[in-house]
Amino acid sequence: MLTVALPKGRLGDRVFELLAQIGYDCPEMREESRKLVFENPAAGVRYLQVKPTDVPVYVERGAADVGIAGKDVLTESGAAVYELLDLGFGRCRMAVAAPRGFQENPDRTLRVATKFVNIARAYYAQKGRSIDIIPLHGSIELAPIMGLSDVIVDIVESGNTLKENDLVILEEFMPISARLIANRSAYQFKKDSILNLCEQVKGAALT
Amino acid sequence: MDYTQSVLRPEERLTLALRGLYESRGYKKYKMSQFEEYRLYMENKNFLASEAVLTFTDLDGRLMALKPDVTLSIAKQACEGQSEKVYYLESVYRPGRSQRSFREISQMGLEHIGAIDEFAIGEAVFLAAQSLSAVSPESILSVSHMGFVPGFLSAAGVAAPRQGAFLRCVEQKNIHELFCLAQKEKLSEENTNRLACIAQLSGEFGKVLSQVQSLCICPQMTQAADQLKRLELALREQGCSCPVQLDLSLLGETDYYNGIVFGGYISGLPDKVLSGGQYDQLLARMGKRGGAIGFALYLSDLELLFEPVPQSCDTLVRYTEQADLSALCSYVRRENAAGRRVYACGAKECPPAALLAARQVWFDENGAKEGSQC
Repeated sequence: MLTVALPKGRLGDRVFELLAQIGYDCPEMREESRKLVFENPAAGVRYLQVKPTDVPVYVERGAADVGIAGKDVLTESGAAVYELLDLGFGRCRMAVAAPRGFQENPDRTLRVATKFVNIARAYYAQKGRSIDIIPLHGSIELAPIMGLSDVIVDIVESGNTLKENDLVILEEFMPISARLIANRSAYQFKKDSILNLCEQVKGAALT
Repeated sequence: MDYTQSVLRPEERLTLALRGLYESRGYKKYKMSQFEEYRLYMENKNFLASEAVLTFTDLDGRLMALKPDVTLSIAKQACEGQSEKVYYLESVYRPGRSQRSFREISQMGLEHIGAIDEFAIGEAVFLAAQSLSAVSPESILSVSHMGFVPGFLSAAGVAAPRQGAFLRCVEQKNIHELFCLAQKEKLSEENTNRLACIAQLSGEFGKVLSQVQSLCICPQMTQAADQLKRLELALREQGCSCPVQLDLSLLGETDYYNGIVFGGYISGLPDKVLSGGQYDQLLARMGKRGGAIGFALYLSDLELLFEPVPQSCDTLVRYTEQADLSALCSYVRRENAAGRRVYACGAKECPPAALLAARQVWFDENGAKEGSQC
């Protein structure tokens, strides 16, 4: 039995539909309920519905054998897992954005508002830039508008939210899409099942 | 009846079994101090999993540390030109996974310092495999060679400073990003495909070895493949009871390990519970000649495997204030001599609920009577 951690929301729904098509269906998942664990012993699969940011934790700690997580969430978590497949959907990118006309002063510590504290820290460390991280949990675009930060580091999909708030992208630095990840210990003991799932997902995702 | 064996908890039985295993190969127990001078870790920080070390100032003003690692202490003590085989059961202090606090981690392991030849390597890896078998029948030892992937990258023209990103992709079995990186670094298509094969290659040691030979493109890789071949032979001939897999994506810390590296997994536990390998570079850095190999089994990570042992006894004695002390002591002594475990408490006390299932004895001025009260 493979335990799969699915992120709640659009990405999880899309992945579940794909898995159902290739033989890992679980009719219970389509019923209205508040359950979080769904099982189909005949298909040899159990699904856990978890908060997207928790998927790497469930997989790293072995509560799930495999999981689907965005590259942003995965990198931010720093989870020690195998990253077996790029599903190619849920595409967006990590970017630095600032109010239109912003001029960076290299003589001053840069104030950076973000949900992705570890990613932002690593990005600026690589540049050798002194920064002050302002961790936020939502509406990141508000921070530079209200003078809370100079720039933001956030994911950008269409760019509409930035545009509507008169922010512009200064730099894009990380392409993001959904990834299939696996627990390193589970991989040793369930390698055939995990690789079989991977191969089938790969085939279905490309068609 | 000797009841001392029966009271051992599973983890205590395990450490006894491992002591027997290591001593059967001539390893002697090594007891070390809980503290080391902090400078040992600062001088060798590349050999530590984390730079975070718990420190304190000793009464003589020296900056000391609670050991974050055992190997450094053993390597420091090793006498040059002398073969040392030691095992240990120690606690180390490192940041936990969440990195927000330190953890005390109990680990058992061994180190062989001296002339490390193929028998010595085979023996250490065999003992690692047998250690896993002693923990659980559902265990796997994964082996690799540190010379293989870096050797490939150097031969393929990737300079050392740019190898880190490739090593991360290999370690994560991240083939899609490996291809992007290879394109960016202008690695040839043939070499890119070969590296992808290396990252994905894993399976039963004996079966996968033949594929390893075909992936070699330089003498360093061929040498690594030959060492793996000899290791497979040594494990087979020693009668290794734990399944051994070859997985070339297994990479230890490049500053720490050289040569053979290995990691152990137990079904149901989320991460490696054993890791080890050859670490000749550490000795060289300490100015000592010779080689070294060792491993650590993380006993703290095995806790989830062991069912909690409920408190129990054979005889629950409840005594009144009027009970004769001499008669009570003699009674308990006789029970113990008969091999029965006794829990004695005052009649007004409430004994732990788990003990109520034991044979109950009421003890008052008239002596012992069967039953929960007079």
